[in-house]
Amino acid sequence: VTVGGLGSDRARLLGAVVDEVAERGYEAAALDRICERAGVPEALFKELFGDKHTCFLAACQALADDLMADVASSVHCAANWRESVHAGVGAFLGYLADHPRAASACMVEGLAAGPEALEIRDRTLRSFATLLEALQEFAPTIPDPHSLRSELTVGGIYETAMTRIRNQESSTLPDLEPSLSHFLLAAAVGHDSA
Amino acid sequence: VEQLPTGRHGLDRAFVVANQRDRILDALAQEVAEKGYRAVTVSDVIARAGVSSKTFYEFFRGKADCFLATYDAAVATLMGHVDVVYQRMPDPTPEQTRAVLGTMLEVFAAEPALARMCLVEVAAAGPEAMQRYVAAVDGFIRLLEPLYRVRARRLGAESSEPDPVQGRALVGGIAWVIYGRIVAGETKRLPELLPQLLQFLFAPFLGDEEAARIAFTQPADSRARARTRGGSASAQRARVPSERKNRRSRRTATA
Repeated sequence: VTVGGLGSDRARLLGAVVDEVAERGYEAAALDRICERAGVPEALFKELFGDKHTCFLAACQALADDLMADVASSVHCAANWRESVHAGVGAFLGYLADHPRAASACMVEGLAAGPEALEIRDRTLRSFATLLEALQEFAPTIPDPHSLRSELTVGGIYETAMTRIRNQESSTLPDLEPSLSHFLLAAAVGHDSA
Repeated sequence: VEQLPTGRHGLDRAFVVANQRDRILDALAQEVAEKGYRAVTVSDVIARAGVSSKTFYEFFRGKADCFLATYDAAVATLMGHVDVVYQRMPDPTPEQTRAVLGTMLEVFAAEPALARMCLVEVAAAGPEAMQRYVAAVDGFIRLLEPLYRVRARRLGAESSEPDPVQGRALVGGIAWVIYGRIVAGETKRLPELLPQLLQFLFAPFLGDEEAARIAFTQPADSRARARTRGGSASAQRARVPSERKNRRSRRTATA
């Protein structure tokens, strides 16, 4: 994915809408400036996306897919359960640190874009919870598992990362890896074995 | 909120004003819960509140301003209920934590519009509203401080310094689960989640076994209370906006 990167007109527009929203907020983001940033004529924008809302949602979905792919591939490359947790949490934080404007646009400013933007966020977090549940089958022990555990863990990691992004401290996100991996391991296999 | 009769009702002007303002806050909360923040208009709110447009703009600059006032009133209502728990149970124990979280879930269950505004619609209402949400989360993270002392005692550790990352992850995880139930239309069933949420919250402090034991054991006094009030949340039913009940304590002033 090319959020913020170069490539096709479509990819440039996705990058431009992210930059514009990160800078000015969703409401103030203007179509003409988005097109100017992307170097794409407004007529082509209209043809590709129709309006700002559709373009922004496409950018958020692209960010979500790319983030998820990055985390999933790091997890699958890990040698064991514990390493996969460190790899997955590290990849999540690293991705957001590497894409601060997309993270700020989609996870902070973009929440004001309406219910569809929230749905993209919610679906993404549910996929992370599903991934975590799949991983847990490889966990060494599962003391008293309950259905809310992955939801609680994913929500906790999300809120912690969000706080850094909101405070414009995205570059410090990778520092959270040891604490958040421990948080996840403890919730998954118990505090005594974590 | 009932609309006051018009004309010469002999009611004190200050009372009428407070009543109008409350009615607007209540109307906004209901409208937002039904339609979502973005779709609500000031006309919807004044029609529902039964006030004139002029009256609305005497109190508020617009929809966003009115939302912030309603949000503050909702948090104040919630905190009012939490404060009652603190007065009843002043000692920082796991039982106090259970009572606080249990009360919050019951208030949300009894007032779905309040719950929806506090956790869901706040995201749609823009950055200033989100700051209010963040402040509320920060307030709940501080409520965990006594648990760090419990852990230090248990482990014989010198330091009971709170871990801010862990605190945010714990509170954030619980907020996320509550959010998910509200979005799924299961707000009324939130109190059922209390034991699982407590187990998650207590485990880092009390250890896994003790956390599970305490979380799933109902305290004797709450069983007695449940019998006397039929286990119903309506006994402590909250009204959505009521700043007149603004009873923030030292502990919760920042929330």
